[in-house]
Amino acid sequence: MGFSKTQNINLSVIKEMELLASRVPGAVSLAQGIPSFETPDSIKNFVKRAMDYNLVSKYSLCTGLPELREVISEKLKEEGMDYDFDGEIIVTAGAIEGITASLLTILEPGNEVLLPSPTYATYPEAIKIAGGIPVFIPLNEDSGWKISPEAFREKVTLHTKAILFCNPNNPTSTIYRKEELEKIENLAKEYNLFIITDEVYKDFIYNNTDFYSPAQNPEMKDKVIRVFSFSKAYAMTGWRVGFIHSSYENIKEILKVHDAVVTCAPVISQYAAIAAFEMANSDILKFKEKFLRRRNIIMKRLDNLGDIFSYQVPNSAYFVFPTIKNHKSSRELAEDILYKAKVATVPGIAFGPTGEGHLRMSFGATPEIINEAFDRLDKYFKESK
Amino acid sequence: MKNILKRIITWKLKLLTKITLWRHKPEIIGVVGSTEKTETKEEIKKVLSKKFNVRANPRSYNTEIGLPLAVLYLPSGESSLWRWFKVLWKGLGIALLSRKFPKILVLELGAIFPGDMDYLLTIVNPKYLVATNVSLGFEASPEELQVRTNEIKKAIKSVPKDGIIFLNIDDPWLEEMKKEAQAKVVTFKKEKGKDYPQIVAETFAKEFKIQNGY
Repeated sequence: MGFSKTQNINLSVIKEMELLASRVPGAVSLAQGIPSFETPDSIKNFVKRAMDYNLVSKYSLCTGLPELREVISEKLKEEGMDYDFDGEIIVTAGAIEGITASLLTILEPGNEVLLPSPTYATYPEAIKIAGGIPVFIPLNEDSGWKISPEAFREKVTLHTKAILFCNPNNPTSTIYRKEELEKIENLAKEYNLFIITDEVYKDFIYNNTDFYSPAQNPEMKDKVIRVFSFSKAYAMTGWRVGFIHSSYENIKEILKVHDAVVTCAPVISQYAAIAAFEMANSDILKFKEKFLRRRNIIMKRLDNLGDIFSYQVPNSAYFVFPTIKNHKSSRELAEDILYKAKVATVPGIAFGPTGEGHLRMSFGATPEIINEAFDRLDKYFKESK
Repeated sequence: MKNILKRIITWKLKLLTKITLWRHKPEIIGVVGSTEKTETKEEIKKVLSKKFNVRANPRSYNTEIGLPLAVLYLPSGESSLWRWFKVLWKGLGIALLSRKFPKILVLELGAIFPGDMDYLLTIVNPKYLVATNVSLGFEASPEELQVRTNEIKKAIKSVPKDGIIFLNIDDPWLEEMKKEAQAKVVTFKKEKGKDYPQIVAETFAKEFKIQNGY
């Protein structure tokens, strides 16, 4: 039996590395992009109550529990975005389901989607699943991995349908600035393009940069599909719950795909999401403080390997994306490190062509894991000399 | 340990709130329902603020801890014991010493689990009650609907005879609940070109004006 449709779609290199690492006994991981924290107790206790009252075993409405959508709508208002809970929001099974459902809705075969490189490894595959073609626009490392609206403009063709990015960016931790994003908005208006903005790391910004979302511009409502997930901010990666919001017209169409793919987001997780927004906002601050400490640890350890790596200070998210000085391909190095030093990292090539020559390391891991990983890396590079 | 502290804070907040309400005796307008409570509350507040000093829950402070904080107009201590100590200290000052207090409180009452409404009604007794909606659509489980209807019914039953209940009769569950009321019932339904919160606020203002003769 042939699988012609999926032949050109790859399991993301991140997942590949995780699979390889799972077969290396004793390996420690800086590869996984997940926070080490446990979901806050307030969320778990709320969910336990929902379970005790038999509220989680049936489907919810396809768009999600109305209470949750209303809480989301209020939260968006606080963040300067006005979206109606009844028709402009869908609760999704994590961010990637929202992104994939959106791409499946808006793309026709052969449509092109512009995305920065490096960027999150699963985007190109989601675009291909939806019949589209990913077109990478290199970010400029020397200017702090800034997005260049001009470079995006140069790549627009008759087939371009959308621009997809993650802000703050995974893996570079770049926070795209308002001026740059407004230029991207103008581009979208001029060429009638959708902007899909994935903002799952927006709660972890360490340098007081003002965060701007194109969804804050009411004029862009019919062009912008904004994606958020509870996974990172509330340490809920296993719950698989997030949401998307856009105009009535867009949401009405995306809902058809969402319904066909998942029917509704897991109801138990929707209750967890209510509790997250209502009760766990102070936990985000605690997580942020810890990530900041971990970032400082990983930077100090990288400084000690200054002849091997150079890096830009990550001002958001929980990744550092060091350049490998004088070395072979990122994939070869990542695999060599995995097998010889038993440390899992993600090769930069996973994030698009401009990611080559880098490794992604996560400081979502505990300080103990980070230090253990770097003790091993110190030894590995010493022995490799 | 955490649970014990939470219980102590909840109990103290309730006590301080009850003292405050006993001293100032404001008119209380409760807003219940599955959704649209926040916008409805805001619209009612907007209309009444033209004439009275009105306070409403900031954000969605509508639960066992949120509701007392809304009445006392204090922020949450979140997960800091020190901040909670400061909140309770300020609350004590408001309960015992405050001279000025709003004449009207517009309060969302949030009930997701069975028993939530019973607890909230031990803190506040709304003279006016607005019920926005119950139904969650055809895919809502019977258990879910049961919980929602029971909790709203409790609020409806609690309104005294000289009060007024405002019911959205586009919602079949709420129309059914008319018979549970001992107070006067005023109904409202969708009107072309207007949102529910707007309709409720207009209907409410009209009745409130008649009853209070202003």
